Amino acid sequence: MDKVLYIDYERCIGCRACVIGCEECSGHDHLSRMFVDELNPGETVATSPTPCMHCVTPACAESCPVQAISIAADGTVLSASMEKCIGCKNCTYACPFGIPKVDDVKKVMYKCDMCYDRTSKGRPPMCASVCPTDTIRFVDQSDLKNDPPKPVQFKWDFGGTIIETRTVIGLPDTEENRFGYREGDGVQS
Amino acid sequence: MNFYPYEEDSLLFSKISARNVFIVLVILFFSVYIGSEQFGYFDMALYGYLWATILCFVLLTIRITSWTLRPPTRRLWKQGIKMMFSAKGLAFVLKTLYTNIGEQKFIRKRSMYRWAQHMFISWGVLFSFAITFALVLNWLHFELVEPKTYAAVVFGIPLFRMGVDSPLAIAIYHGLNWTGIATIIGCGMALYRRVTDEKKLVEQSKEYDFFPLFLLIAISITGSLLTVSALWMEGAFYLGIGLAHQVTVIIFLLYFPFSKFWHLPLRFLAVMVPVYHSMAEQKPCARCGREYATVTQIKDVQLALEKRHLSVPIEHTNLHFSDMCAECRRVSHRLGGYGAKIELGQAHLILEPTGRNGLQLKKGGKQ
Ligand code: HEM
Ligand code: SF4
Ligand code: SF4
Repeated sequence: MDKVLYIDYERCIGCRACVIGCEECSGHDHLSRMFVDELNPGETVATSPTPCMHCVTPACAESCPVQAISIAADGTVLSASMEKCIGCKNCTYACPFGIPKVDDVKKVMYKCDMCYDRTSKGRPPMCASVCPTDTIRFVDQSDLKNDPPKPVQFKWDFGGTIIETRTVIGLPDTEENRFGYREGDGVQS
Repeated sequence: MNFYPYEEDSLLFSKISARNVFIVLVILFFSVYIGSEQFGYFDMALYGYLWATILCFVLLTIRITSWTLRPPTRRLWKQGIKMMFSAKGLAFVLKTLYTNIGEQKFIRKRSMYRWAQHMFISWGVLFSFAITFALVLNWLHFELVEPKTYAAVVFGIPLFRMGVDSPLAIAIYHGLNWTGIATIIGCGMALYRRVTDEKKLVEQSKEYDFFPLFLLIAISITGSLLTVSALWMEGAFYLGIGLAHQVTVIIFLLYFPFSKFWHLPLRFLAVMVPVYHSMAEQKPCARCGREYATVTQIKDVQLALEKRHLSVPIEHTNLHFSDMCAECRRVSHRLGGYGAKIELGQAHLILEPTGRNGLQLKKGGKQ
């Protein structure tokens, strides 16, 4: 079964368990590849986790001058190869989703590889395993994309450039607004 | 996968490859011609190595041509070379050449063990090949000028003389043994780590990671056995060992441009990176105003993406997502998901979601 990450970010409580879980994954060299960002600091407590979107046509790989970023057979976009990466940071700028990071001292890029050692054996990635609110889930790709539980994002149109991603983002419910925040009445941004 | 071709002209790669291969072959031919003193000194025992070496150079040239035709690669090489024209830039590059390629300091920061291992492998192999190529291509040979004195002749010019069994001469005859031993130690360390750290090296494979180590060990052992046979076994099995050594070296030469070893040419581009990052004007993020890149690099990345049909513009503005820092890119997508307005404080613009998961200028969003 082909499983992907599903991020339902209105559920996020900002506990950062995913950030710590990521750090502990055996292939991750104690460098976390997960981000939890405050969406409107000082105004609301809304936060969102962001893992790699695992693009079908990864801009990171295309921008890499030494082809250090490869794609596994299952479509996972891997972290940079240790012997190829020259730490130039092109990928960190090319990525439309702000994912790759470069360690300036070790001169190597690192990013989410969906815990390749775990997912290649069918186990869920660390972040999905530790998330206490089910914000991050590891679910069947075709079920999720064909029959999503709510409006989702996995096809992105940037002025005509279509980027499809394996990771799926669940959009907040701004009608009933049971989680997260809403602009306007209550909170001014 | 992106199936767009790299260049509009589908024959461009073939044309440039042919030109580059021609140039390399001409240089090789003349270097051999001069080195062997008009083909006067030719070591026939090295004939097999010679053809494999020439083929290796041809394959490497083709691979390097294809690599440097990729838009981001071409761009970064050009920028680096341009910066070398200033004295400050050149000094910077030379310093990086030493720390990055010579001392390989960044690998030491990854781990001391990996650094020691790689110093043994890389310098072992680099010196081996310096000696091998010099002898095989006849750039260097030894002439017996007096009954007990050799002259070392480089490109036809006698450089220095030494006694047949002087310490220097012995160090030189055995140069390949020392470099071979260094290679064996380094590869042994790498193999040990690959087995004991198996859980951490999640993406390693037999073909890509283990085979190169076995190949280097095989080359070094067969090479050292030649000396053992000559010195202590009165030449027993010399021919067989010699053949085995030749076969392993030829496999290496042909495998080099298409394997893990390909990182050697790539690493030279790393020397351009620090100067590229430090000698250009800093650029503030369009949203939060924090300096996160250089103006030049953002332009270069946008150009490279455009050539690959992967531009990521913010609609109805002159901006691209790469004009924002990584964090602001992540946050903007999420705010867009909430249908919230996104204020680009630095660029004085207000954005809104397009409804197609992109972002665009909000009506009247110019401040
Ligand atoms: C002198 C310039 C070179 C540089 C800057 C360089 C750089 C690197 C780097 C950064 C790694 C990854 C190390 C790690 O993170 O553990 C590596 C691995 C490796 N390099 Fe090089 N390299 C160079 C030359 C060579 C040469 C000439 C060879 C031999 C042909 C070589 C063979 C290897 C091998 C076999 C590995 C993998 C070791 C393992 O199994 O872990 N390198 N190199
Ligand atoms: S930082 Fe490394 S992986 Fe990223 S583009 Fe540069 S060389 Fe490639
Ligand atoms: S989200 Fe960014 S890092 Fe991940 S595959 Fe896409 S371009 Fe690469």
